[in-house]
Amino acid sequence: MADINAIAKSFVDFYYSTFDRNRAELAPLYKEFSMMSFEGQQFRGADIVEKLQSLPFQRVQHQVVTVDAQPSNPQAGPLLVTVTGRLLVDDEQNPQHFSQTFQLVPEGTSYFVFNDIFRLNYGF
Amino acid sequence: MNTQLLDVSSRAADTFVPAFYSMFDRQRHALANLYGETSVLVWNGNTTQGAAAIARSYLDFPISDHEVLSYDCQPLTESSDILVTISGNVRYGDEQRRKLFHQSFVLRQRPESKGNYFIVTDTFRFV
Repeated sequence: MADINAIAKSFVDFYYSTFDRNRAELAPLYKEFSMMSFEGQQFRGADIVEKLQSLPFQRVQHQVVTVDAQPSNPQAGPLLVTVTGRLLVDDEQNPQHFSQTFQLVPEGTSYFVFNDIFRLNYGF
Repeated sequence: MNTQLLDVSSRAADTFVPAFYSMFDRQRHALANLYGETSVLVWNGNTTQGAAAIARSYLDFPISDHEVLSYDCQPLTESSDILVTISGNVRYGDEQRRKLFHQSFVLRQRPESKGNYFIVTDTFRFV
């Protein structure tokens, strides 16, 4: 069995470096039946990357702090990847905490995103 | 979107989320009932497997007070499994400071009783 932590790590590196460089390039990771909950709002399929592209900042920098990976179904290949980190937008000096959970589903030699749940973490 | 599946998963999450944290804070010994033999907990990077071991590790925590700030749920692939993610804060014992946490669960229907879920995976991190 492939090392799921290594798969999760390389997905996470790819995802956020692509996000920070050009959000439009995330489109191939999502299929028409993929789901995203973004701050409690639901999006599906092509609407997901459209939403990401419409976010009102010019520049963003994600800094990943933790990555956890687990098989979401022991009989098959889907992976649950949970990320916590910080992000900085535009000229902001204070990073915001975020958490994001993905379910990755294998397809051929690669994976696509079936589930994506994003939240900013406030609370103090 | 399969709205029926979404309804089922959001109803399950609406029931599960308050029940889990109220059990954790007030009836922690009962948590064992929510896990199965193959369940996996990853708590801040440390893995524990099986209902008995997970419940034992939770019993070692000091008195807790969880406050849920937001939760989300989605149906998972090709099954009736449900993904539930929670953001919140928690105070342990008489600590003054509340810690921010993020927790993700995969819930699965018990084969013997439909509509009744157990925890397949539980991933917890302080953020």
